[in-house]
Amino acid sequence: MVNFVTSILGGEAPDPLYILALINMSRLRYEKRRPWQVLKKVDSSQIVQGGNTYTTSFNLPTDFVRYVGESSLSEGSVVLFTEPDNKVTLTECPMELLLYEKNNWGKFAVDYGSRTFNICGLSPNQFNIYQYYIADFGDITLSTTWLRFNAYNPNFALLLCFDAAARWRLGTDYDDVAAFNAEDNGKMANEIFASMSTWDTELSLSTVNSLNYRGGYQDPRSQGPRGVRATS
Amino acid sequence: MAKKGSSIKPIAPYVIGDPEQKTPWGGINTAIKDNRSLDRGQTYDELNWICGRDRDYVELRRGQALLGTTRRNIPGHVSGLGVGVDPQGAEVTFYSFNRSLMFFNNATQDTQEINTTNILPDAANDEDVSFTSYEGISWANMFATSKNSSVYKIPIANPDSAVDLQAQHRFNFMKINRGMAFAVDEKGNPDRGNTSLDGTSLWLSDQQSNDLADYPSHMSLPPAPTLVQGTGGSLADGTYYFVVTVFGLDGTETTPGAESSIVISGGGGSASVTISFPNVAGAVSYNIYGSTTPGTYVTPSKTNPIPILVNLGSQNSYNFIGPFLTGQPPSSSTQPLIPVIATGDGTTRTFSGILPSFSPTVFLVVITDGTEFFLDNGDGSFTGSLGGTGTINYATGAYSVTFNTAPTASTPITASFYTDDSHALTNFTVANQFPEADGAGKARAVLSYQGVEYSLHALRSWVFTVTQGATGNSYTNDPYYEQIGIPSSRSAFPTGDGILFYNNANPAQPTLSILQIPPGSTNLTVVPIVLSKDIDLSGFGSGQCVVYRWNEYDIIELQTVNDSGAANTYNSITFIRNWQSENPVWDILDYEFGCLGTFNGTLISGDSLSPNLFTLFSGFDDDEQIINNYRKSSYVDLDLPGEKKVRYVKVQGLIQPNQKLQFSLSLDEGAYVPYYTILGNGPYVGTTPVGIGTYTIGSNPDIIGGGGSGNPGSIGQIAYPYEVVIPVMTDKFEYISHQVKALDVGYVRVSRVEYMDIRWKRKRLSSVVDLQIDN
Repeated sequence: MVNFVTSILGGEAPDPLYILALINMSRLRYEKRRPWQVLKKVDSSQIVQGGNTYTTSFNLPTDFVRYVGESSLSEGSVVLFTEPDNKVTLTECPMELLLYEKNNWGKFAVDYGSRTFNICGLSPNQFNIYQYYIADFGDITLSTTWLRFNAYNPNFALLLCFDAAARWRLGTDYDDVAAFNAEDNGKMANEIFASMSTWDTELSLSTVNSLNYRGGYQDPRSQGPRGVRATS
Repeated sequence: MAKKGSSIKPIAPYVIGDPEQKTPWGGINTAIKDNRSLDRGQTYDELNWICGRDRDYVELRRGQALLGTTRRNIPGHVSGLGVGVDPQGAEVTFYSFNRSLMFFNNATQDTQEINTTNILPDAANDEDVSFTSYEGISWANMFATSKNSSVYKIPIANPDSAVDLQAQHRFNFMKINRGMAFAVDEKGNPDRGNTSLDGTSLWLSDQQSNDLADYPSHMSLPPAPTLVQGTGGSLADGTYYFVVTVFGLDGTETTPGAESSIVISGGGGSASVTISFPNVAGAVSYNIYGSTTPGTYVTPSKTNPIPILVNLGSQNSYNFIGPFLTGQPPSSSTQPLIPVIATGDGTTRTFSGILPSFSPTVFLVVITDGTEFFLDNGDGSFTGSLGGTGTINYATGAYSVTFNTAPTASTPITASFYTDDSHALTNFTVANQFPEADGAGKARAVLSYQGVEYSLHALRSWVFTVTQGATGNSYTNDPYYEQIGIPSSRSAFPTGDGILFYNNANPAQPTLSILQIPPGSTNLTVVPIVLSKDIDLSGFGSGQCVVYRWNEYDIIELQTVNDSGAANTYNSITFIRNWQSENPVWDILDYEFGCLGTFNGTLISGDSLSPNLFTLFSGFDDDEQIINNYRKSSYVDLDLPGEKKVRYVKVQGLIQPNQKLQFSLSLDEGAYVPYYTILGNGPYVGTTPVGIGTYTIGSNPDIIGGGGSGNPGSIGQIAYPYEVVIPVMTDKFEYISHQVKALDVGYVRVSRVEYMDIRWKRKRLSSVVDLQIDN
């Protein structure tokens, strides 16, 4: 990717680490622009025991960014499950209300600073904890690329390259000629981003095509997109 | 981002090497200490790159090659060098080291010592030897002298044979012109009864005569004549005796040769005698004397007038019919006589030997058998009148002639010649000793400019004139300039434009100057003009300084300074400038020599570290090593104050296939970083060859390098044009400098460096001192 930035810059080769920093800052910005389907991840490595109370802390995944749910309720982002088909959907409450909600089974509070969460109420059973979240797959390095996106289309990574090149030209190495080049680099970045957004939208839509939005509250599949409460 | 509708103002490329755009290349400038204040084409540090005459390119200098094939790996250095020309135009190089006088043998194409090994005495070991050649009446000779040796005369035609002229005075510097030797820094020869020691006077020798009558000549008498009786005369029967005399080289009549007799009988008083004899060398005319008494030609009688006297002119046969006239042959003569040198046997064609009675050198040698005449050509060769050939050594008297037809049996082969002991050139009388002792130190050299002799001392100069008149020469000798002084005898050189000299009368500010009438001046006064304003010469040793002009270059050779601040004992840095340039610039080379000479148009040097000669500006390697080189251009701001970047540099020039040119950049006095290596066989090299002159600069096809096999140095060389755009993509900088460096063997030239796609960034300096912050 750094080499591609050099190509965009017409052969100019700034410090690769600096370019890498620009690329990763760009990555950060674009990954935060929307809940990319390819950044979604599930973690089921932890178990809540029967009789568990609010005092037990569980870990957020190490690559956790946020739960996939887009409303403040984050409904459906954490599901407790045990065979054969025992499911409990937890609803997030503020960490500072944990003591007030400590006996309300079905809620949980996250201590983001400590990257832990506690489940309120008395666990009636043993469950596997399923956390659905947006992950951070780590910085791009000299030897890696924007893996999650490039697995689908290598050109997606060029978004970051064009954006980094524009940032270099405008923010670091400004001159009259570079400014004109940067304008086009920015446009190219926007075009790629638009394409990726369309693609991501298509991925999102395909996940809900079979849902009956009017299926009722009890079936989370009927709730429509996360955070959008289906009306019954 | 740039506002829509705004326009880019392209920054014009920054070009070095376009004289038409007033951006020519330049030379070294060490006089200006801030390397950011130089002109764009100049360099602040370089080695072995030379700016072209028209300042339209810089090129790697040519290499140097051993002159000859023998490399002497022994201690010593070349202590003197001179080139002489024989009357036929052949040039011969002489040099010295330790106690040896050497020469370059044009036949073997190698250097060798003269026939006398270690001819210089112990006291003269390794000291400077002054060579001066002079072509006078006795052909061309090289004269060599040093303060503790003698004066040696070496015929150019016989470079292996030197003659010690047993001089009473020896000098550190001597030159001969107008038939006189001008010499300074004298030391008498105690072995010749002279203990003088005079470092300051100008010494002038006697003037060598151009009148052959002033030189001793030698010749042989003709043999006894052959006598045959004939008729038609008035001779009575009886016995007659005849001898022949010669009017020879010194114009006087010789004593008679051997006598012949004939008995005339039955002639009836009307007989005649045909008298013939072989011609002898050097004869202008002959006299025949006859007598009726053997051995007696001294009692003439008017009534019976014998002996006869007939002047034959140059004929060698006469039919004598009588009567006898009066006269007698001389009983003595001033004409020195020598025996015949050989006698024919009817089959032998080649005769060789040593001329009798020669000393110390001979000239105008004639050898004949009376039929074919061999005349000395002045170059050591004979040309026979009938196609024969031969050689003569003017110093040893050794001759060899091959007749076209073998001389007949008993035919005497005779020789004639003049001898020259060069007495005039080594005779320095008190009357011709001109004191210049004004406390200005030793006189170093005497040089001519427009007929006037300039005697340069350590600190001052004198001017000396010679006026030749019918009654003899008259002279003037006057102090000339203060503060014109040279450090060594070789640190001044006469040219057509004036006298180049290394002026270190003020050691803190040495300069290369020229004594000349300023061009365009109506005032005909000769004044010194400084030529080295661009270079600071104060940091070099000059004790063995060499100043020279060759081809289109003025040359200075100096000693570098070692780590302890003392000058090295040998020369190792060369400054040159192209004096034919409209605006000459200086460049620095690393040739190491103690003396220079021009040999068949090429520049030869006497090595300062070994007793070997080298041909400079020859080939493309330094004695089979890659030429050490680099050229760092001045730091330029691209005519754009503040910080900027350069994205591309275009480099153009000429290159040979085996060469590689490394191009580097330095930003704001940082280290030079190689950006690209231009290959001589790269795809950016054109295929149209361009002539770059001969293999050895100065060499010419007209000049045969000896051996009759042509002159390899005169073969034209070619290189190919290249044009490379190097994507340099620099960081930001304020001043930039480029360096070129040839990495291999071969010609390379840079004719244009163009900084392209310059991006101006900001006016702020890279590093500023903010007084408010820093305080």
